[in-house]
Amino acid sequence: MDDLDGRLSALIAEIRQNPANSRKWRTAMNKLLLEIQQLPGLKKSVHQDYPEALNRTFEWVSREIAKFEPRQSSVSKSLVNWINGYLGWRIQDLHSPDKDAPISLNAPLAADIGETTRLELLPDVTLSGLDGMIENAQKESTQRIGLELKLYIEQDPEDKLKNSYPRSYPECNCQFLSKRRVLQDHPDKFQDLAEELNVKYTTLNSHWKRKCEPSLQEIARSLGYKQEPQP
Amino acid sequence: MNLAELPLLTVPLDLKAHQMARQLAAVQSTVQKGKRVYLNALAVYAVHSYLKWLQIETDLNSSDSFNPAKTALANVGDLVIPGIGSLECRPVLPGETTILLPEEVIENRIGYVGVQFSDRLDSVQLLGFVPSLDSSNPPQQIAVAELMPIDTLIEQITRLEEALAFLETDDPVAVQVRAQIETQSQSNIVAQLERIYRTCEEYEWRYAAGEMLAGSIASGEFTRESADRADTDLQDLAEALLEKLAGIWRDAA
Repeated sequence: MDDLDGRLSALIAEIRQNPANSRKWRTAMNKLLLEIQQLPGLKKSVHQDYPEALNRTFEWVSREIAKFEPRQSSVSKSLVNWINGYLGWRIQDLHSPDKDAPISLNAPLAADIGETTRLELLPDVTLSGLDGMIENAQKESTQRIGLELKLYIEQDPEDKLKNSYPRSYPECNCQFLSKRRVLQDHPDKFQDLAEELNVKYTTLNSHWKRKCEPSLQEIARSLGYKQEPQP
Repeated sequence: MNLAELPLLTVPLDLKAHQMARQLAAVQSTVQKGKRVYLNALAVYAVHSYLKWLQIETDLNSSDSFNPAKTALANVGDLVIPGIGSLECRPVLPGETTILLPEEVIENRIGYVGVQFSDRLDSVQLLGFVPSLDSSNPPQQIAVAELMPIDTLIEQITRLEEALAFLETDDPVAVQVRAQIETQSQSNIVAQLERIYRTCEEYEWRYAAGEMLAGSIASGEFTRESADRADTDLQDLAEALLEKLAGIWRDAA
């Protein structure tokens, strides 16, 4: 039994001996998952749903590891086979006809070159492609809370924001602060705003927290935003 | 601790994570804000997935980072751990060596997780964790090199759970604390006590914890004399509580 097998066996034993909400169980599970991710031979796929398959597999390992029985002389090989058994099913699910984009998954990468590279089959999920993707998403969006709030803050139709300020500091009002804190891509620091307005930092900070933030949230609610995004 | 030598956990980002992030980004006022919201959401989702592997429950729907209006108003990457507190999950882009902490995320966080992005957004890596910071003098950034291994996040969550469990017991100290706490949640008190335990010398505990507990009790009408006595009583209670918790945490370590 080599070092790796020894480590894996010890971690699995630690997990079996402790309840799932304990420090020992969590620490051992964290280490085990780290070891598993370094193991060679885990099934791979470039299907767009592979990350989900992998994610589900780690959840499954966490729930089921107590049932794992090494069947060969090597714990690590046996563990890879055990995990691939589950991961393989998850990947096979991706092939099923009801899935939108059935892509050949297990074929070697070289087989694809010449037609289209696999990266192109994936949706636009690169950091460098993010700006364009978000720009399109924003264009398609019919109701944008960000824009509506921006408009509201700029116009402040009932002077609700402009009329909210700490006693004797009318310039330190919620409209001014919102413009500098919410509308700018790089918000000004409270400390800098306090110096600019000649107001104490604590005065400005607590006015923002106690008055401006609740007002803005109330305005967002009145614009019809309560719900979370639906998965 | 040299993080570069340790392998990092990789967390896959599935299509659902991208769909949710896209919806949040789509309603922002500018592309730049949309991008910020998108990456924050992915960072939070990754930590949510990781904690699910460890069977630690989180609540995305109660997190400001997944609320369209809240994300439009502030640069937040919070993840709610029900009953325990909020974790801040900050994206680290390729080439970045520091994590900027916007002013809105410094308070009321049990700690900060650094999440490493690469150009491909189908997975991220968990860089590490720092527990909550001194709220009276918070740093504006954390160097990636200062992050501790992600195990410390497990330690932090477990400690807070243990302390909250203690507060529910029939121990006289726990009973007295429950009776005294009026204005703050137990999870908030426990988070602050844990920070005092972690960052202060033992001789400072009495005063620091007493002051913190005093801030959590609705102030009544006091004469100077009775206020002094009340302070002393509170310091006694705070010290007793912190000693109990320190005992629990030391035994476990």
